Amino acid sequence: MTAAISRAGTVPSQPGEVILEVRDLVKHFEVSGGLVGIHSGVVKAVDGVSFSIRRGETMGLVGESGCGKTTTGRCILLLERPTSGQVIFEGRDLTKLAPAELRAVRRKIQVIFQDPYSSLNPRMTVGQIIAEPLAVHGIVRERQARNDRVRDLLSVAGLLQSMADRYPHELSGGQRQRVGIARALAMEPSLIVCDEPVSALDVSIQAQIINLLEDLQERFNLTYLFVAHDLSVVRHISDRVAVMYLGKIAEITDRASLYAEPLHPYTKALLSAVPIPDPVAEASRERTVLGGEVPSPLNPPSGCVFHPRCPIAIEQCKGVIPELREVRPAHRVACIRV
Amino acid sequence: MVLITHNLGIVARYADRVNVMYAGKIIERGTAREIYSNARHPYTLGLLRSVPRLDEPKRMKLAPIQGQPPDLMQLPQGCAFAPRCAYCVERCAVDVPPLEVVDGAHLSACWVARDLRERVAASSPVTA
Repeated sequence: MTAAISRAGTVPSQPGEVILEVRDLVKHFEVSGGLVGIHSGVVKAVDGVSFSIRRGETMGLVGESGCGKTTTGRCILLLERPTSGQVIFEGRDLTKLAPAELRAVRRKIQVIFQDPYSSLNPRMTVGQIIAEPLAVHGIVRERQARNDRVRDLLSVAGLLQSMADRYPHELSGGQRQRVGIARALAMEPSLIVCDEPVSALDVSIQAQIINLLEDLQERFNLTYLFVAHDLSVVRHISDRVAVMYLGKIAEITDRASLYAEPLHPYTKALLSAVPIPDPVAEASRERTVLGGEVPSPLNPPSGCVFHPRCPIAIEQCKGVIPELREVRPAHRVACIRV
Repeated sequence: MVLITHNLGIVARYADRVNVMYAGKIIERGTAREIYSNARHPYTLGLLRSVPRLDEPKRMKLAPIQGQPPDLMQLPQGCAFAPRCAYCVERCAVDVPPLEVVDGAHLSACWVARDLRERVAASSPVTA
């Protein structure tokens, strides 16, 4: 069940060439149950996702828990092997590369995880954590040069050089996330998948990390895929935004259009659910509260996967899988009612 | 209902009265409207300025609170927020400010709470 679209998200207003193109990406997980592990179903975590990102751009990927946004990111990193579809990075389809070739390309795609504690080895010092990829990939072979490079990276990520001798448990959450950022930058990547990079941080620290990511983007011409559920943060950092629901893209367009004129009923509901930190503004807002829960991707609804919760669904929505089509220039929506 | 969260939006939506805590102490207390429109503690003000808002034009840069939350085992003398505070005065590094009435039911634990707004207006290059 893939959304039939020709070429995803080519936006003429954005500078830079297409660096990443995801075509009809599908990731199904087989689920087995019972004592003998009998095959009992397929979770359609990602079910026909297509989009592209231009160099220097930030693409936000939003949706509720379980919508497939993290799995999409992991497929791009080839941490999960896609069931089908293509991940074309700088002109090469990563799903078709031999392991040695993939390893070389992978340097250019790095990741920053949500939980900077579980993603750092507790037995290694910060210096060792950042130096390891430099050694493994043979980027800086000589030990002293490697130490110098680690010190540079620490400073780029806004950490004191003395941090090199500390262990992750000695650091605060924000400092750990800076270590994760320094480690990602060590590979001199062109694309970074940021998977909920500020969700686990204190409010007072989130803005520090967001500002750092923005500064680094400008300095190193980085491209970000920014996976998050906080729509205010995504609006702040993204140039374009894709909204996912149950393994599919519901809507994709530039930031201004998505937030000013959301077209998909799911996007509208999500935006109206975002609380604004101002009691006066909150009191006067109208809200669309979605009924029900996100259905299980093990047994998704027929037709449009959103129809059981959709305030404007009609009979036809139960039978027709809506195509992600261009409703306005560079604004794609998967809804037959739009 | 007691709602415990770091989400400023959720508080704005649901709370009538708000207590703001920092390093184990309540540092500001008041009605939600007062706290959000007229914060009298630099930490509260910092929190409100550090989050992006859907109903505002996109800002070029967020204004984070500098530094890190303190180590509760080694709290500084005086106000626990002083090392991160843009508006602190000498006294802040010496004496712990008590939670005192600033205006009606609005309380703040800050030595400069009464003229915080003037200080902010005078020093702040970026307004939220």
